Amino acid sequence: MSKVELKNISKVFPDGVRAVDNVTITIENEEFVVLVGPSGCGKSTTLRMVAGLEDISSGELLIDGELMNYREPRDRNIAMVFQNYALYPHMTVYENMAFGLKIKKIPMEEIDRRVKEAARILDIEQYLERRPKALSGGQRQRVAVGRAIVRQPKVFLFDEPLSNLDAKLRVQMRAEIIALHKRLAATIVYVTHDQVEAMTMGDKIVVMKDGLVQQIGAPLHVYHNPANRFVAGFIGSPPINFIKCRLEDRGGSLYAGNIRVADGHAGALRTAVGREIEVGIRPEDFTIAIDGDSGEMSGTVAMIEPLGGENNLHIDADDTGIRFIASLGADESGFLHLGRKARLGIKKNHLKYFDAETGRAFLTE
Amino acid sequence: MPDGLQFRHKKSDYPFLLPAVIIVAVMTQVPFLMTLIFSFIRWNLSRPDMARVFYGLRNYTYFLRIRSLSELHQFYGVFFQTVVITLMTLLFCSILGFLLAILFDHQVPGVNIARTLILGPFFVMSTASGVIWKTTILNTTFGWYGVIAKALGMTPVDLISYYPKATVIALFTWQWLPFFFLVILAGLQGIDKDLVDCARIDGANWWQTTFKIKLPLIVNHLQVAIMLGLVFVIKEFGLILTTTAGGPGTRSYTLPYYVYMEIFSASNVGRAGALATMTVLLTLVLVNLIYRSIQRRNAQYR
Ligand SMILES: Nc1ncnc2c1ncn2[C@@H]1O[C@H](COP(=O)(O)OP(=O)(O)O)[C@@H](O)[C@H]1O
Ligand SMILES: [Mg+2]
Repeated sequence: MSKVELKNISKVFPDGVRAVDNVTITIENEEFVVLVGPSGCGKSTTLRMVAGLEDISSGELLIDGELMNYREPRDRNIAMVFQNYALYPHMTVYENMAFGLKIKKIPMEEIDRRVKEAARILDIEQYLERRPKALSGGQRQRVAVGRAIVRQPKVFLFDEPLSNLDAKLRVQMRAEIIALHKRLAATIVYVTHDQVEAMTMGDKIVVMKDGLVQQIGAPLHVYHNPANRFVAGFIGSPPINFIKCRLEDRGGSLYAGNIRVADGHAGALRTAVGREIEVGIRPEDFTIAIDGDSGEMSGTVAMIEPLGGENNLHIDADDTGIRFIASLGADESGFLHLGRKARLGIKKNHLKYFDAETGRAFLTE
Repeated sequence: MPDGLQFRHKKSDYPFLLPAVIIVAVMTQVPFLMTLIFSFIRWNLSRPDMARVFYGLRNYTYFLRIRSLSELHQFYGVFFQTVVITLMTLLFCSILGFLLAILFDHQVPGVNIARTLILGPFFVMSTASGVIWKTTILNTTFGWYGVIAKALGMTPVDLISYYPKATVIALFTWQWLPFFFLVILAGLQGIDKDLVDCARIDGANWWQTTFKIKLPLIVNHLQVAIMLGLVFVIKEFGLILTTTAGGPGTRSYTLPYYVYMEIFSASNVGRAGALATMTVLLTLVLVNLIYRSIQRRNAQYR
């Protein structure tokens, strides 16, 4: 069992910077939780407070119900993997993995067993006698993970472990870490600024901005039901399109600009009639308008990103001039060449509506 | 072809480089070459009647020849003393410099001022500090040492005449410690903070972090400090001249001081040249040893 609870945790640095503000997160046993947000939003600081490398300014940190605030890092039963690997350069791979165990005075045979086992899992057995310098980035990352595994911690902490790897290796290591999570039945807190990583790896993601938690939830839930404009814009690639407009009641039907609000959404939006709102349209929520249907949006194709199966079309809207991105199947959008007029429909049931002033979503589940 | 172009380009560059090359050669090589030449000449300033002639290796054998093991030429004693004084100085500088740097490798208010103050001894001329140590501090009657010892009811022994080698080592250490401190501190501050954090998570205590993580990571800095320190300490002269003056007898002679005495007391330029050359050789051999060990370590994990 290992459950981690952050209760109203804040971090104020001596220079007055409030890096983490009243953060409450519960990480269940064997859960893979990803803290995601733009650079400088306080992810690392949060993780380092869990690790015990930063003092907690206020709030409580519990692991399995025990208060951890004043425990030394070594007494918290955690292991951490750093972005730049943080391998001891003067020790071999074996010594790197064994160092913490030796300090804990674990018997040599046991250390040897654990190190060999971890090396086998991570496929680094043939490098055990090498020094980090003689390893590639991916191999170093494996050693860093191995060093965490041999500690058999209650909680694994990862701080942007894949940021220094090239794209291909990143995808591969991502899969390996997911597999490792299953295999070890580990509790993992994983920090990244890469929303794709967050979406693909996490059982649960915590979106942060400016030290504040914006939303917590399963990746797809957050994707489909962003709590505010920031989350909607941060999660998803290519990014969501925003259209700023006034919400109007035209003869009983609600209209956001020219877009008719779906009946299912009207109830939640009725209180905002007459106000400025922002409509969020995911790129994949556009459709090609069928003949006879005038479509909700029309514009000129300004740029095409062919991805094989689908095309990302950058379109300049006729009415507002705003550039938006539509993601359409390659077959159905094949006729839309550069400079052509495109008429698009919108899946209205998928639209998101945000208060233009506060950014808060009107539709919440 | 760009090749031909480059060639012409290079050729026309040489004349412009020549003045710089000459100046550097004269400034750096000529004094040593002169010393080398003198070392092969019989040249005694106090004997103008004896012609200056090529003397082969006799200036060297004068010092090096072993007639019998029981009465070695005093050169061997001085040589040994030089090695001991230099190595002990470097040893103390390394240990104290490391501990001091560990102590000051923290971001606390005022640490920058303290770091600057520590550099003090390094900026004082060695002859000046020698005089101050001898008269103001170590003097048994007027110096702080004498006054304090007497106030405590003890009879101060004259350290300079009773423990000349230890005193010289202490003064050399005092003078060169700041340099070691500075280089090692730079090394410590270059250590990846994540490594130290990692060691904390691994459960390393202060002792283990300091000696198993930090020390191995700054060994290169330490070796560079030792290498440079060696070159300077081995030829340190002013402090000896102004404090012990090589004495009592020759008990705190070092090779540079011996060279000085050979010229200004014995007036023998040839022998002084031979001594100086041997000092340089000793330095080169030691520097080379350290340099190789740095190279070996670098190949391993940098
Ligand atoms: N030791 C520190 N002292 C002062 N401010 C810090 C310190 N560490 C981080 N910060 C500040 O806290 C904020 C969050 O930093 P961090 O947690 O590293 O962000 P992230 O990991 O999300 O990129 C940033 O504004 C950063 O400048
Ligand atoms: Mg970070």
